[in-house]
Amino acid sequence: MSINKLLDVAGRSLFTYQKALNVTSNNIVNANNPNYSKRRITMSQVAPDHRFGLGIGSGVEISDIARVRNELTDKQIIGYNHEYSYNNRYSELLTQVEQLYSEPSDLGVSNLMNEFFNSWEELAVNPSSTALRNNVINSAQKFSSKVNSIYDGYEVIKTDVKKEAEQTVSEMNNHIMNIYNLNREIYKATAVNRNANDLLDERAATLEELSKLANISVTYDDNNVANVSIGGSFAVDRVHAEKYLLAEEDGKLKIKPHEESGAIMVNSGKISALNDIFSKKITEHKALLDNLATTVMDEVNSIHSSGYSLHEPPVTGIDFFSGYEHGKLFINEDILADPRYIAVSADQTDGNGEFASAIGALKDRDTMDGLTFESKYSDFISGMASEIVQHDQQGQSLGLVLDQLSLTKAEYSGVSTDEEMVNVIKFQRSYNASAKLIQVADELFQTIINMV
Amino acid sequence: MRVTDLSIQQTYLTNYQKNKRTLQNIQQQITTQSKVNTPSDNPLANSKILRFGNQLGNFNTYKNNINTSIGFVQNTLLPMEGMQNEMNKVIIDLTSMNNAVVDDKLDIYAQNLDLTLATLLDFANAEYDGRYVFGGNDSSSKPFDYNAAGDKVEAKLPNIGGEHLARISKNSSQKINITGQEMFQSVYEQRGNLDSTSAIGSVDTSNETILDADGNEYTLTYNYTKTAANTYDFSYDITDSTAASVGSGTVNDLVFNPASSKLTSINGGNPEEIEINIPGNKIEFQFDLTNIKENTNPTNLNLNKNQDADIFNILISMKNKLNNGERPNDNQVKMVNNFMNHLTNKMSEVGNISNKLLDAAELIDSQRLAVQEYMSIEKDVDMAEAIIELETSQHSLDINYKISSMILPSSLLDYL
Repeated sequence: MSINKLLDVAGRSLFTYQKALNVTSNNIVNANNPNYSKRRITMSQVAPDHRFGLGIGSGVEISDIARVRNELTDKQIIGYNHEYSYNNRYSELLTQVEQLYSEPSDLGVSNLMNEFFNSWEELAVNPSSTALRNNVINSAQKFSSKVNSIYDGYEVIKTDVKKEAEQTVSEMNNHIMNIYNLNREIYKATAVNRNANDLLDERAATLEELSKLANISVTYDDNNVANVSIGGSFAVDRVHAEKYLLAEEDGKLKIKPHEESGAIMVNSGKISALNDIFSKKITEHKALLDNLATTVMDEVNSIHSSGYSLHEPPVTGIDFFSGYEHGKLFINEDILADPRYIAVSADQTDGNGEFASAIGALKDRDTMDGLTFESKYSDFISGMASEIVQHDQQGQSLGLVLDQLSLTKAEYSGVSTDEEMVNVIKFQRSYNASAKLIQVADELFQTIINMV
Repeated sequence: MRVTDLSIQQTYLTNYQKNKRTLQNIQQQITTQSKVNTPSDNPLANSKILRFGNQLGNFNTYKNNINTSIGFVQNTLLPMEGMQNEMNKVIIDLTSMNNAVVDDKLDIYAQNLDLTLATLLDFANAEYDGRYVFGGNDSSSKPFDYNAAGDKVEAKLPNIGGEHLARISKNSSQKINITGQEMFQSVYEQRGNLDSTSAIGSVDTSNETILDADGNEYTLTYNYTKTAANTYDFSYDITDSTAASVGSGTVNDLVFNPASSKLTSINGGNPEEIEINIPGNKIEFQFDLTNIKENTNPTNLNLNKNQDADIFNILISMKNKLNNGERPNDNQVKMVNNFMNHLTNKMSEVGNISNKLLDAAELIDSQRLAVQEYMSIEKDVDMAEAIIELETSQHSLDINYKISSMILPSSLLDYL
């Protein structure tokens, strides 16, 4: 073996450990990057020199820089992400709806409705009292105003939800386009046997983000290209990427690949939670509120219209509520202007409050599907609250699973600075040793040169 | 298990979030003093809180009704006490005027009666909270006043008979007024059972001695003639001491419900009192048929009279007699005494109403306390427990912060 050979081995070694130090330093600086996968260096011996039948080694080289990744964990995270996202966002949005009712408090529908009926009970004791008549009007206004504010609240939430859904679809399209571009780059790199670790990390992170928005499924081909479908329909691969749009049809949100095409079946993820709240839940809540307000109006009017006012001669056939439209429960303008129009007398005398008592007693009558107003409303609120709790708990439970999976991912693909520092020392020492070898080779050269 | 920088951070952050969430919950509970701030905090408790809240609202209404009613009842009792004093004076005068030495001073008694009449009329028209106490359901004008000729006190019929009902609990309403009709008017209430098995055309006849305001006696004869199944015509005839008829009348179609035995309609309308008024003979009373029944167990028909004639016109008659140098007759004295008894009974009825209202108020107070306690169990925070929990959570969080500064940046790097 020549002295030159010695220099070659030592020089290659210097280069190898320098490269190894580069990889290690890259690991260290990415220690806090959640999307980064630790790179593992595989070193191998350079093919030995078999001349003279001795098989003398030719040094060391880096044969591979592998991305440490557990594909099973990745798949599990994608699988749980959309469910977690759905439950989490659904319970958050339903909590916003819940807050509209201001329950349980004095300002809630339950209390205001009860106050309204009780004001009639009090009027029945002294029907000619203007103060008590004004109290009835006041409590009706408070009830009506609360119904109206809830209804307006629905509209505000719907508008916000729709805006958020539009942003989410736009976010979804960005992710899809990003995956499309990454697929292409990865394909090119794989074709020329180039390391595509950074691209793979970025795509994995994008897929995770996309899986929070909708229920996606991912398969990989031989060239490491990810084929993604959303709700069972194709979304992106290496040659094509869908661009979705959000449409509102018949009061429901629909996600479509094109204006004319049918909607895709998104049944999980954040976008699905937004859609369910917009298209189903708020509609259900509106229906209950409408039903409650119109039943109260009809029942009160049916009694009130038979009563006589305080006028001389007494007037009959007066409705207390003049109508209900889009969450607005209108009180008869005549009554607002002149409380004497409140018609509670059954015999035309001003001291008869028979119908006031009958209206007050409505609160104990089973007028809504065999239930009292209070029971029907209370059952509805309890149902909503239970739904929030159910989704919240499901979200928390899925959150725990995801935390555990993230921990597994971090344990597997994450960087340990301690480990890397050990590597740094190891590679540095090896580098130093290689440099020393060069020094030895140099001294050998010097010895020979000095002999001349 | 391999420990990486990310896994340490994630574990730390997860535990930190848990601590913060717990702390936030406890802080919210302490500041609002409520365990249930939204329905989803505890759906079952929320449902109970809504129900308890409405119950408390109802109790407040019942309590308000009771307070209003007590005020009304007490202000009913005041004029009644005044009337009792006035009537006592009349009874004393009636005794003293029997003495022969006052033969020439009867006009003074007449003047006293006139003053009593005016006072009684004031009491009969007493007001409270914008309503006439004895005005029934009509507060538009005085329930009692002299007629245009000034020789008779007239009542505004039928509205002074209206009852004031106040809801004092979920299932009960209380009558809180003494109507002008029951207090001052003469009401003959018909009691007894007609025979539902009797033949069509059969007649059930009864007699009753009645008095006019002057104390004269008359015979009231009344008949129920069966005209169809469960249907009768009612007729009456009033004759004087010479058997001459002074007034008569007929009311058709008294219809009974065979199932309940009760009178359901009179001449196609709701059952109500029949007014019998014969001004020439100073006879005026209400014939109340609403309590008569028809069933297979017939009984004798009888009249339950609250008083023979109205007190105002008895006193006017007595006053006129005294002005003419004539003393009131025995029947008139008897009617004055009867009114006094009637007044005492009514005062006792008012007292009973008042007691019932006070009892109801007491019951509501105790029910309210019980419901408040149930509500408190569901809603209120045990402050001692909450503060201990807060301290514990705060302590955990402090440790968490301390650990973050100790552990997170620590690596071999620090020792090189």
